[in-house]
Amino acid sequence: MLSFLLRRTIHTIFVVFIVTIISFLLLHIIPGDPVVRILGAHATAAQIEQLRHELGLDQPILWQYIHWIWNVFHGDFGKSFIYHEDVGSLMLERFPVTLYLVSISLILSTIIGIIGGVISAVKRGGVADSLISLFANTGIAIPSFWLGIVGIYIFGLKLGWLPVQGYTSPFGDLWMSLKQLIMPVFATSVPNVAIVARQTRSSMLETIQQDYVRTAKSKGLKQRVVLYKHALRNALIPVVTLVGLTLAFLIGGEFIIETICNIPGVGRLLVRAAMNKDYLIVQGGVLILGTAICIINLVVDVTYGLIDPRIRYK
Amino acid sequence: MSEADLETWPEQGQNKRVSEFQRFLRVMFGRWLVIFGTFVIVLTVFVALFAPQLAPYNPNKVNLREMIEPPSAKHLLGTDEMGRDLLSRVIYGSRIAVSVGIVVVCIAGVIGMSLGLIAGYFGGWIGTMIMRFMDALMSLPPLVLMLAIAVMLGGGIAKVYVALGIAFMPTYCRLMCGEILSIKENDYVMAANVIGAGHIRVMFSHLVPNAFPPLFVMITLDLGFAILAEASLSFLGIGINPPTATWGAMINSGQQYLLTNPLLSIVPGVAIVLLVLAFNLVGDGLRDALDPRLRGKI
Repeated sequence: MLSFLLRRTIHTIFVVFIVTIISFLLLHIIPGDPVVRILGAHATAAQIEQLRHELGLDQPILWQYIHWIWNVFHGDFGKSFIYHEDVGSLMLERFPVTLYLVSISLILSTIIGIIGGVISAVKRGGVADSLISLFANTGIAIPSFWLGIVGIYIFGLKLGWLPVQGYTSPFGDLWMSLKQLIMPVFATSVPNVAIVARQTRSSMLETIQQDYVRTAKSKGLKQRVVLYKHALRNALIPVVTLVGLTLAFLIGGEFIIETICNIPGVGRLLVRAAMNKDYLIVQGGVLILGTAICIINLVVDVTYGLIDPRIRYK
Repeated sequence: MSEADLETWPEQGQNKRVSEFQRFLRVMFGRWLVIFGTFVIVLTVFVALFAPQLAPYNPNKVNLREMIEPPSAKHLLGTDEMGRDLLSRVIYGSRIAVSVGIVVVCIAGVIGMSLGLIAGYFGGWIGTMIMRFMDALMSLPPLVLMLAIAVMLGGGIAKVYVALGIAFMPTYCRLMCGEILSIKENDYVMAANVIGAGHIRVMFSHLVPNAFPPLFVMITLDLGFAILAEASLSFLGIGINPPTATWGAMINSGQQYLLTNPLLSIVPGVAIVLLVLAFNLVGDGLRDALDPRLRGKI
């Protein structure tokens, strides 16, 4: 177990290291002089020189990286040139909102997806299976932002059941907060439900054919016990280990929804920064999100290694 | 053994191949969903190719006297906020969609597969480096990665191709690497090594052709997902510049006029969903027809 833990941790550290290199290089693929692009055309020569020095861009590239990563480790991702604030604190302020929305969508869509996938697999070939499979195929093809807009049109503007946009903290007005939450969570969850359902279905179908499931059946266990105790547990392994991937996918949908529904989260910050060419926020966002997902992947893998010894030896 | 003997007879071998192909077609087009998907794809490509002939109006012609009109005989789907004909814009939008799908998959496929081939065949530290690089790319949310690259490179359709190409690359690399690793263990590869075939020959005449079926499925699915990704970017106003008609940008500009003409946002969205769904359905059909064992792996 210890060697598995060590191996996975080293692997993660290595991948995070490459994530830092990718984020670092992002600033260097800007055509022309990034400092001029960051400051805009009105900057004076002295300002340009000063920022160049602050970013360490007057140094050799290896030294630049070390300089940058040193700052990052001290929580300094540079300053946003639009907000004139630290990128790190800008992110940190908005992080809880995004975390709140993403975790609700992730939990909800994973549960619904698993239930759908199991029903689909167990009733293979039936009406339920056809319907769920059709939904799974369509759900992946629907852009979540479009779903959000159609939802706003139907439930916000036409029926007037839900607020059109905005965000209220659940600690302030819980009822309002929930009403505002429904649309964004629904829009980001649908594609994810589809992905999880597809994965669960195929994994479940594969597991049902295994010898141990047949053995369990032939020794006279109830179908319910066989399905949920023997098959489902094993079928869920590939589903749950993919959570890092689905999370990365979910975050993308979530970010666009934040811009549509005007939710003050990391997504809206990042998208606006991208539109306004606020490069350092984009760079910081890539770095922080990438690292966070790597760590989540590590936690998921290690937890699963604890539960299922086979994973440790793969 | 007997099958190998038969292969030495050219005519017999030919027959076998034909029937194999027929079996493929039968499985592939045995379901109406796959036929539907193929129909949508063929139709979209046709519309994209003949957009100038099919579109009733110039998609970029501004007509301020006919702003945001509801559907009528003159404008079947109505007009947008600049009086441009919605139907014509949706038709022209298919050009961007189709070209994005093809170019992105080419970039991602060629680079990803080559790197995967190198990583799988040679392994060692270079293989590890390549695969960890792909792990890093995959741990970034695709939208954020594409957004970042497109913005840093500074907009324009070529930059969108590159950004999407990079974001779509890792899956090809991983799939290729995995395939190569397992195919490498086969006896015929060892035999090729024994008779003194070089790296290039082993790679391209023994490994790559056998690795291709699952990649083929992947390509079909990604044609759809690339279109979806481009729609997200152009929805956010990043990449392809106005007034070029792209479905994503049309959904975005339409959202301000939901109460007057909701079709402005709804129709381009339906076009995206249909096309992406079509690629998914055909991809699934292809997978089942090529190799049922791949079910669940892709």
